[in-house]
Amino acid sequence: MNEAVFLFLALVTVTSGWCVVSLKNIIHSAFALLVSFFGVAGLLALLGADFLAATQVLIYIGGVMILLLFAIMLSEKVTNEDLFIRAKALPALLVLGALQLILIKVVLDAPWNERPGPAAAMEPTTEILGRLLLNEYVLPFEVISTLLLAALIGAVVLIRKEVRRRRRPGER
Amino acid sequence: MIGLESYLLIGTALFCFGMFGILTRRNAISILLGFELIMNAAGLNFAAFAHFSDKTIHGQVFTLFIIALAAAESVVILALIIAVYQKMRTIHVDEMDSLKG
Amino acid sequence: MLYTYIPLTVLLLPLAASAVQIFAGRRLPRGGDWVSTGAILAGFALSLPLLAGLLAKGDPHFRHEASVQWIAFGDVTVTMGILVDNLTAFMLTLVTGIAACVHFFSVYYMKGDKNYHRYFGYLSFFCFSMLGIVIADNFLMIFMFWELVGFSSYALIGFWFEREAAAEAQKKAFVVNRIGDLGFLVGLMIVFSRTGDFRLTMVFEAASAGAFEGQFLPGISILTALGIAFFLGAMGKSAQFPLHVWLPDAMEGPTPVSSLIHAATMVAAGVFFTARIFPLLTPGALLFVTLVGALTAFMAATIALVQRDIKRVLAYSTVSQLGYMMLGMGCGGYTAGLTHLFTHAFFKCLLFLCAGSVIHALGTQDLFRMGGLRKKMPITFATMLLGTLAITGVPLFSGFVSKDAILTEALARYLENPGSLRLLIFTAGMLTAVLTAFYMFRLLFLAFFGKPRERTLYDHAHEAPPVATVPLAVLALFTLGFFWSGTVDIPLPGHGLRVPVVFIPEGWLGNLLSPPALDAFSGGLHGPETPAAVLPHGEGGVGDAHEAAHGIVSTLSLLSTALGFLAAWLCYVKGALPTMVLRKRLHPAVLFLENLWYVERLYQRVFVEGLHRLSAAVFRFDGRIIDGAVNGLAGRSDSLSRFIGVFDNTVIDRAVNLAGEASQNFGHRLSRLQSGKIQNYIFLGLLALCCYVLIGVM
Repeated sequence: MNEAVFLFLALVTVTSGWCVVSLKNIIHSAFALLVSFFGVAGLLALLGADFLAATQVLIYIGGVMILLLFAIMLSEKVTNEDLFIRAKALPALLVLGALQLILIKVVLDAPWNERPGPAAAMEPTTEILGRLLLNEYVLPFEVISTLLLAALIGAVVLIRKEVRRRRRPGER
Repeated sequence: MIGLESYLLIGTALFCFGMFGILTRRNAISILLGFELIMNAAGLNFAAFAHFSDKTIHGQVFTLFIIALAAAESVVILALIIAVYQKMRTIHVDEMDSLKG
Repeated sequence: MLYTYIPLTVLLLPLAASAVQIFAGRRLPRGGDWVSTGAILAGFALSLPLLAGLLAKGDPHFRHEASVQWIAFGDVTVTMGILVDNLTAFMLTLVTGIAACVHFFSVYYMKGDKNYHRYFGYLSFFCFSMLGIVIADNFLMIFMFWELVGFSSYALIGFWFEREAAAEAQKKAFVVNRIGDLGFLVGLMIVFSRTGDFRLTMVFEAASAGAFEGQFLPGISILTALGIAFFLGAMGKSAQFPLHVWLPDAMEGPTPVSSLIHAATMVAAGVFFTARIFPLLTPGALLFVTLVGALTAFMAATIALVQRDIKRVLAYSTVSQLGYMMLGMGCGGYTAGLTHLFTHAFFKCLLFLCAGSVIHALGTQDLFRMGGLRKKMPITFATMLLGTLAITGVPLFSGFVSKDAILTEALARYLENPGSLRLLIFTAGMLTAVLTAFYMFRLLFLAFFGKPRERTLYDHAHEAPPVATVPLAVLALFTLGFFWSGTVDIPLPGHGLRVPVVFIPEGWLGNLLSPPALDAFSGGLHGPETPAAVLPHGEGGVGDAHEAAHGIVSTLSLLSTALGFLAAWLCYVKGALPTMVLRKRLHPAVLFLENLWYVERLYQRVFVEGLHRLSAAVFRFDGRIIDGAVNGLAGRSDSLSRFIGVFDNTVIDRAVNLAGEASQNFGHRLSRLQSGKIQNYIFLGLLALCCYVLIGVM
């Protein structure tokens, strides 16, 4: 049962992932990404990361994806052209094919330090994550928050400057 | 048998696809899509490690951070794309070669 | 002690006077003539007692030497020193005495000359140099003073150097002298290489010990070569053929100079030197000496026949008389030659000073513009007459004594070894006597007798003042024969009549001057190659040949003098032998004589013009070849530079440009990597990663 679910979810993820990068229409690839996110969420749930799966859906799909779709929609006028650079496809394919093979080899050959015995039991992780975030990982937590703030301000700053300049053409 | 390797392989596949997208796509937003794929792959890897190793939960913390980071990054990238568009009037990355030497 | 310091003082006084004259003479009152004259008089005053002392001693082999070390290097030392013997004392007195007379005469003759002081400076310097030769005790010192005398002669001949003729003459004198000095130097070298010492006595002793053994050429020994070499120097100084050409031209100098230097003293230095080296002269060398002397005597006498200039006549006469002296010495007549030296010094100086008096009075030197001066210049005439009588060998006069002695020696040698050469020598001597009489009386008759040829000159003529005539008189005194021989010789057929004079010892001169070879240096100096071989019985009145010769000679010389006098009298007084007709008849001979036997022409052609042509050729060579080489070199380096320039431009510049272009191309191609497109960069990064991994795996 587990294997079937896993296989299904893996297939969905990978296929939609391929569609993201190969479809001509940008909206199509955006939606393919959406599907891929869902797939990843499912895989996360299989891994016992319940909080993470929820977060994945909330933030990635609910936040990033919406943002991206807004961006795509708003830039529609400029993007009705060829999205694909043909000249680059073949070399990229070759190199990435090689890279993929290397990675596969590495993954399969590396002596992963796995936990002996059966997998961990599925238990809710929220409380534990919360405790971890505020005890051991409090520094990265605060830094991330600062980072978010910086990103916010930075994005606004990046756009406001240009706008300002354009809005006052009469000025010196 | 579903093991660590399986999840990792999915991660590598997603990574390579994302890389392909970054290298190949013309539209800057399409590159962003590829970039999001890569982030997902990384997050999945961490969660897999978390599940299959001794320190159970700690890997998931990393995944959390990755999600937050990716969100912030996408915001910034979009702002950048807007700024670049205002300067260069295009979002096709193969036309952005003013740093050409 | 005195024998050292007196000669030294006599030597240095004129030097001091000369220095004063040269540097301060202009400022002194009367131009400083009293400085020079005083110095030479003092010298004479010091020499007389020295001579008197030696006469009193009467030792023919007296010898005093003193020397100091001058240079010492290694095991060779060179000394400077004094040699005093009878000959030295005589010469000292002679030189200072005659020089004193000339100094006084010069006061008159050079009056008003703007370089008056310089004249006396040079004159004193000459006296110093001549005295140096006289008292020197080694060859090197003699040579040094020899050269100084040459320089003094040069300075005095060209005293009026603004005149072209004088400048040419002084150069000629110096150069011809120098040629003779080459022989002297060769002699010096032989002496030094064989003995390592220059002192006369040392060299003589070494010679007698056999230091000069060996053959120079087959048939000529080293010793003969040495004698001839030294004699070459004497030839230059004493104007023997072929180095006689400078003496007639030297008449460009002031007449007192001619009388002192070129009649009495400097030219006598050659004869004096021959006397000094007499012990070294082998029969071969002596033969050479006498041959040269005979040739010179005859040649000069013939040339004197046709001279118009009064000084030239006297100059050639001097050359002839010097030849006589050499003739005498070469025949072994040491005493005879020296006696003639002394007598000639006095009467020749006298003759020149009289000529100077005439020249100063008339302003001309041409005999054919003079005439009848007998009445206008009586003292000059009287003294000149005495001089002429002396030189022509009239009995009772000094010249007769000395000439007689020389010719006696010549004939004696012939009688001992009859041969055509010896006969030739004697004949030459006799012929010269005839000619001497002729030209001297010609001179006297042309100048003092007959009608004056140029009235204007004659009217202005006047006798010289006492300052000039007193020296003439003093000199004339010594022309009297009895003074020299101590007897009054009246030649009569047979042995003649000989009346001794009371206060002068008989034959005093001959007793004091005997050749140094035979007695002083005994040992190996008696062999076929020694001078002793020439005089098997010694010199002077010993041996039958000598006696027989004496009688013949006396008669013949009397005849020759009379013959010459008669001929001159007929030509120039009586006019019985018209000279113009004679000239036409004997035209080729006259031409030969007037052109001075073509000797000077020959020298001019061969040496002077030859040198000019050589210089021109060398100049052309230099111009063509050396300049050509230099220009060629310049041209070649020019084209080389051009080639290098082109090479530099094409090859090197191309290389540099190539390098530049290469790096430019490389950079250009490399810069295409930097496309500005991020996707490319990321791609390259991934590619690199794959490569690393793959390489790492392998």
